Amino acid sequence: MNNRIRELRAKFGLTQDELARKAGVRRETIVFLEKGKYNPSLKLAWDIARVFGVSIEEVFIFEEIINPSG
Amino acid sequence: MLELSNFVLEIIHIIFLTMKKSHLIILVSAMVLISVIIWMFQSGFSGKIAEIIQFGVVFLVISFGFYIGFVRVKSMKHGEPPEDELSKRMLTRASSLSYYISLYIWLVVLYLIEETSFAGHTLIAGGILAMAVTFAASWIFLKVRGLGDE
Repeated sequence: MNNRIRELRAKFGLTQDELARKAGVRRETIVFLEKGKYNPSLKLAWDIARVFGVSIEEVFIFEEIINPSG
Repeated sequence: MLELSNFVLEIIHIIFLTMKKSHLIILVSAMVLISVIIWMFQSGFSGKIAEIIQFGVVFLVISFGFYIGFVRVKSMKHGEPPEDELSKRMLTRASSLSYYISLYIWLVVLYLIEETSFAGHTLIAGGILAMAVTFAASWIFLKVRGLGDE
């Protein structure tokens, strides 16, 4: 799963600290999310999307893994 | 004597009820550290390599406890929650990973008890210490690698 957190954070002029506080998580969680090292829960995804005032789909891009065997 | 121990237990109970979890982790780590230092001097620490390794590992585990505690306090001072879904999930994953590894550690310990002349209590103490080290190592591994595969 990819995300646009870094891009949206830059657009809204938010630091990782500020976003973390607004979303109710630690800064480390935002770092992990931006690096793609963590997939958030639905609640956290919703909280982050709400901070930016956009829908979850605009922040998180889910790439379906296609199984070659069908 | 019984009254005294009840009084001490009551004090500990009050401390545990009133303290924040982060401070409690630091307090427990400090208590363990003091106990280990007392143990080190009472056992007549001679500075042999085996003793240095033994106490080194113990101090490493205690340092891990202090680190966890201080990180939580730092988060609180920044106005962040001391733990969130990532830290909780990381601890859960580290626990399960270290549990699986510990099963093999205890198999090795059982083999060593049967096949070698090492004292049983020494091997059991080593096994418990190895479990603690495995947990810390699993946590560090997940911290570096991340949880992107979930």
